[in-house]
Amino acid sequence: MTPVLDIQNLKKYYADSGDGKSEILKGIDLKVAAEEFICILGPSGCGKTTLLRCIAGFEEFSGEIHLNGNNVKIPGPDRTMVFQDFNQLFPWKTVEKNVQYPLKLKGIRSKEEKQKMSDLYLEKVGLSDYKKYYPHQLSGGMKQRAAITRALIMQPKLILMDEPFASLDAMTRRKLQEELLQIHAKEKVTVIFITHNIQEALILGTRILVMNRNGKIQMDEKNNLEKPVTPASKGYGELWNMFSAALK
Amino acid sequence: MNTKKKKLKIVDWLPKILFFIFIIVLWQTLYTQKIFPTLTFPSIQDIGKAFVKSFRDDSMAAILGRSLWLIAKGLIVGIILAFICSALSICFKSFYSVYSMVVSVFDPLPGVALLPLAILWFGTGEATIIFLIIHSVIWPMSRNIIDGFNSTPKLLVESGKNIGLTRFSIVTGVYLPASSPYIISGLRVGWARAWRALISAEMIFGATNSGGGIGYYLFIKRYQLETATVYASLVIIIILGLIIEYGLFANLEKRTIKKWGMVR
Repeated sequence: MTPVLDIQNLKKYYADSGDGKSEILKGIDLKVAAEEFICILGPSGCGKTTLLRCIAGFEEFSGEIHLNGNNVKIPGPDRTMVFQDFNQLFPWKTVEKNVQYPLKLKGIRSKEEKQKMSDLYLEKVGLSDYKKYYPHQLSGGMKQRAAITRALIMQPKLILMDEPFASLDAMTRRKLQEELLQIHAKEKVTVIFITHNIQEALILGTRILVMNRNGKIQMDEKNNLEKPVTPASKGYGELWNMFSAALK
Repeated sequence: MNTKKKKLKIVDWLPKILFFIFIIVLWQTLYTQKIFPTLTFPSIQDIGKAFVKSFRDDSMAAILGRSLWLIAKGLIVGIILAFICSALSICFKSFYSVYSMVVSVFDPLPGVALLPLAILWFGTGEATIIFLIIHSVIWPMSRNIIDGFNSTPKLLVESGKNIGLTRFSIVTGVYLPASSPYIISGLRVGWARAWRALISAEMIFGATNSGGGIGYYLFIKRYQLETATVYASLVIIIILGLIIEYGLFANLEKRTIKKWGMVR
């Protein structure tokens, strides 16, 4: 099966304060198959976010990134990013209009069709009652739900998530993790999800990568734990210990 | 909620009204004490009468209409030009570097200083006044729009690119709405500067073909030593300013940036 995402020898430099360049990503190779849910773990500063931003097209890089065979250089609606920051929604648009905006850009003119789609997707994340609200009237969890809806409605080939739940309280995070799993199962999307939380990776991921401080992928493991994963799941402890050791 | 809102409104309005009453009482007291000569310091009644007379006998409505029409023309052209140039600045780096320099050069240049040249070019007519108004609006407006663009959060720009906005559509899709607090404050400054430019120009070369505006009226009344009417004209200018501030700008803020939670 041809991979959805194919990354070959991806390198990324940042100009540092001196004359030199510091290398963040040192030759990443990665193939992602359709419908995979990849979680990337790694210490702060290892380049997880940079990797995601390269895939999103926000950064210049050397190497090759192919999405369904197409070379990726600039941002595009075929892969959407959900950021950690709650303020990624446009404050001047209601939740509904935020979610409908990508449809308009896609060329869907019919108001009824946009309405139908946004109603459908907002229903899925339980935001139907809040569709007329402005982002500043919502809680952090609701904002992230709306941001995920905005990403989903574009029906992208790939959803990139940069610690979207990291700033949420534990209860809301648990709930959103469950919702995301259901969405992934129903919508058959491919997801790359960055987290620093091993438990979150085990709950969500079908495959877990660990990046190290050398800007390389150090570990690439399938997550065969049966969903829904809880700390009581068989094999959970071994996997947790293995990733924890790799992160040290 | 509603009673709370009403209370807030009273807290907002009452001090303002009391302030005006205080000024009027103070004025009248100074007048009755005859501290200043009556010729330069007329009574409130005289100013009131001159106010009414200006509308009844001197067709103040038409005078104001002429001034406001000129301002509207200058403002609209100035604002449109400012938007176009600022949008080009965000799209093209070389345009930005030149344009920001041009703004820095021309913004501090008083419109009145350009008046002699403007009169040579356009004569003593409408065109000169509109030229001055455009000059006084375009630079502060551009500065504000560009500041707004520069302070648009990177996150919103990336979110915009993410959902398919391109290099040009991102200007109207993200940069402009994200800059609305700056744009509204730019409009305020632009309006104030345009008003000043208009009145100065009218006072310097008087009437245009279609007759004089409020600045000319003010100038003539000073010349004829009708001091009460001069004060009445100032009151008219102040009232107009209040209408624009509370009727237009405050409303615009309430319907946009306040509703969107972008300002307190």
